[in-house]
Amino acid sequence: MTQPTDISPDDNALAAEYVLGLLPADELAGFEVRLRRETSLFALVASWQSEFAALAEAEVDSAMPPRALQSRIEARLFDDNRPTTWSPLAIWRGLALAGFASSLALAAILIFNTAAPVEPQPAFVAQLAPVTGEAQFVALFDPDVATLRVQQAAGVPLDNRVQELWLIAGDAAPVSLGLLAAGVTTSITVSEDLRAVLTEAVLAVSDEPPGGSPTGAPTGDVLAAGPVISL
Amino acid sequence: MMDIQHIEDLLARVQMRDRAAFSELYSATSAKLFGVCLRVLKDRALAEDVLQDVFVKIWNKADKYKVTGNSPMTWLITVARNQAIDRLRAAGPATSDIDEVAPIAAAGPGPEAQAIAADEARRVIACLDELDGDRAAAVRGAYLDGQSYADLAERFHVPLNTMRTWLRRSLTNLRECLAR
Repeated sequence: MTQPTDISPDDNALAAEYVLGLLPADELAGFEVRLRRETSLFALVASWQSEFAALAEAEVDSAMPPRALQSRIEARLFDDNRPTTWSPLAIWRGLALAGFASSLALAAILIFNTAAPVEPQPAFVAQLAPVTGEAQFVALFDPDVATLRVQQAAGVPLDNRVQELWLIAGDAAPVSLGLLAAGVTTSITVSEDLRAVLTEAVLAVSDEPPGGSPTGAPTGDVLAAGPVISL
Repeated sequence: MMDIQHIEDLLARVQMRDRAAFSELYSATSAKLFGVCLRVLKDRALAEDVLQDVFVKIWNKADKYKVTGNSPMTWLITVARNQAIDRLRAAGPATSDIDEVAPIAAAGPGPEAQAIAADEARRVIACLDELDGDRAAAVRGAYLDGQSYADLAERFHVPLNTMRTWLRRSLTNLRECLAR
């Protein structure tokens, strides 16, 4: 890797901490915003990645994984009956950051309170930011009644199309939470299984034909997505 | 040291959804990547599980590896190491993939990056050798073992803030040495 030029020691240390995974959560979001804009900072991160990976290549002992692992991986990828990975959502996974939660909660409560002034405090909230198009949603989960309430904050469904809500936990395939009613708050009861993973999940809305996805997996564009954040 | 050109060719074919190339890439790199996961996780069952996720990601993101301009082994090791760290710190924020936080006009592939991997390892190790023993051990602990500031502070018996100051200074010294 070419050595980056004009490096401030602080940026150098930040870039290395970023690569090492040592940046405190409250500094991480701001650093990633800078990274998207500053080519020189990105070059620094790339050069630390290269240097540390070279160290690992030289110093970490190889180890043989069990023979069966390769076929398990290939079954996971190439068994056509399984839903494929829904890649645009990976973008949103890194977003579950602490500093983001409080302003988001306030925004969510404001949006919902205009519709229903006396509401219990939600315990979890997700802001689904636009991915394709302009649609945005806010979701609040009230654990007392195991209900997720979802409201569209911007955009409208396309003619003859519906919007379907999905829950994605880790690398698992998206699970449908149901269709969203146009123009009103949709209340969805969340099953116990899904409640257990809700706090580490991403919610996403896809564009689907009337009646919802015919396959059980998202078929249309991802309209909006966002991580579930605990209040 | 693996043949960079060969790995590069395999990755290019994997981008074209060539399953035979994927299988060959697995044969060529899985032992090293499993070693990287095992070093971080210190648990075979966990490392096996994470290695599956690593290769699923390699298949799904093969088209993104050139975003940094780094060598293919750098990309593969970074994917493995970050996936292992995410598992190690399951409660904390996930690492972002570098292609997701890249500027629009990112660095692009540098041809010089391809040829110097072995040389680069020698330089990094030589520069680590210039640091005091504990400081070099802390840098290795953070990357190779995935130790957090809290882990390192405990290991070296210093307060957390001191640990951060210390490691950051080491990283500055390391950069100065690498830039020489």
